Amino acid sequence: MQDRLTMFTHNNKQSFLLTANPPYLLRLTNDGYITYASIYIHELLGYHQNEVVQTSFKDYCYFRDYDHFIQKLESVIATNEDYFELEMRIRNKTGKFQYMQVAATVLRSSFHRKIEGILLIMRETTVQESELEVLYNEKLGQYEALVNHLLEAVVIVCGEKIVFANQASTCLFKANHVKEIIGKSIYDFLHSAHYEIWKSEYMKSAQTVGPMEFVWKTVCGNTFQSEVMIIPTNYKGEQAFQLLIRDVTERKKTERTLIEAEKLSMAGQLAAGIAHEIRNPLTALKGFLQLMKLDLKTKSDYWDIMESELERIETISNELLFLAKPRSTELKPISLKKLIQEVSLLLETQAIMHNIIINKHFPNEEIVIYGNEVQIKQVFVNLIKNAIEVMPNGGHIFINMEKDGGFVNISVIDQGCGIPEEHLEKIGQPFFSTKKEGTGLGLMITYNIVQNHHGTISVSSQVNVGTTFTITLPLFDETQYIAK
Amino acid sequence: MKNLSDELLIESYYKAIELKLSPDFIELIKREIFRRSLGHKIKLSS
Repeated sequence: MQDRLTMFTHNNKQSFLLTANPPYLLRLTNDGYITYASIYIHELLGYHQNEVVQTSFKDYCYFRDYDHFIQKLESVIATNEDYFELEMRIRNKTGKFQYMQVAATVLRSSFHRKIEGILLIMRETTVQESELEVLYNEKLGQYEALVNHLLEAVVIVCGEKIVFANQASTCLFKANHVKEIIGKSIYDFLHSAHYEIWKSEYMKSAQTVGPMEFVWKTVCGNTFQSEVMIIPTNYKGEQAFQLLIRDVTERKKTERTLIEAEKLSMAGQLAAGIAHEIRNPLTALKGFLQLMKLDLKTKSDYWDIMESELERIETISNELLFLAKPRSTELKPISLKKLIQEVSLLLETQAIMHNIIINKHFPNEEIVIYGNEVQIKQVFVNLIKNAIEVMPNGGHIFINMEKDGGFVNISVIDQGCGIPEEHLEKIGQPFFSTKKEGTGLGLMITYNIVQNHHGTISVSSQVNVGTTFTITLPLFDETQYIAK
Repeated sequence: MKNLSDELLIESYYKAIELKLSPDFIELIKREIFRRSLGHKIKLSS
């Protein structure tokens, strides 16, 4: 055995064996019985040398670690190698498990390399553990500094009590010192609109949630908007939540200004369109009126013209009104299948008059989106009406709906005359129409509504084959709904 | 405008010129006359 020892002290990778001094050695038989223990084993584990001989090594090991040991041993033997290291928990005389670094060497006879036993050399791992502790404390210090100097507010809430707040959160909550925040209830800061959410859903979730939009109150009672990430964590053994809070008041303000600007430019564009489009009917009205002044008795035809032109102005102004109407805030989950069913029922009579059949292919599951029901209805009325109008000789309209991840795609396919490629780009622009009597506002409204619902709309068309309008809308997301 | 008979349209055109109505209006009627390929009627007589 001495030979073996010298052999692997020559081998560099077992460097720690050199530091295993005094040598805590165990020799095992092939089936795990201890045949030899060095005298120093008493120092390490409290057992007398003779006490452990003839007992099974297994009895001293934590069972999982022993399984692990056997696994490693088998794989080493299988690859015809001799050596492996692992960390194990070994029971000492007092019954406590102690972490040991164990180096195992398979002893083989020089002849036929027959396995004659296993030599274990053990070392305590306390030194390493203390190294770990230093490292741990170092990292902890780094993270503490990081969290404290982070520009984003970090708050830890345990139950409803705020148990930690970093420097940035004093800024956010307009406090002079973190002491004004720590120890208080979260309800002192959270806007009352969010109490329910905080109480219900998120207290149970074990996943990080967010970013969600929350409104908070500062120490002095002002409110601000924020984006919050809620990260479940532990605080002194209790379930707690770490909140990352980012003030988004400024961003919201910028967004609002942008939207206003967009609206204004839109209004300008509209005004130009209106001026252009309304001038002709008005000119005709004015002219014929002046002619009528001459002979009021005759020429009742003038009246008809005036009437139709007036009607045209009326439709344009009506559609404009719809567009300009402040968006109704009544948003709710909408069952899309039911909605399209209703719309197609509404237009069925008109379709039948033109010898058109409306075919619907819906998925079996319920499709729910979130938005304004009247507006979404308007979208499909517009699209289906258009489809009917381009097919004076009858045919089929297909309405297909399919789920695609978090979205739903709805296609309205007609077999009409199609739209030439050069016109496709202009679809949805104000006052662009391929119809003789069209105002060019219907599709623009449709585009607007879909956009407001965070959806997209795409058109593909082939002349004399038909046109497909595909609308993609985000599906209703319950968690987002609660957040709002 | 489209519902107006050809005769009435031509008549309206002359009346509008006679009464010096808005050039835009006259242009509108003229356009409709040409659209109906009646241009020769007003050209011949003017």
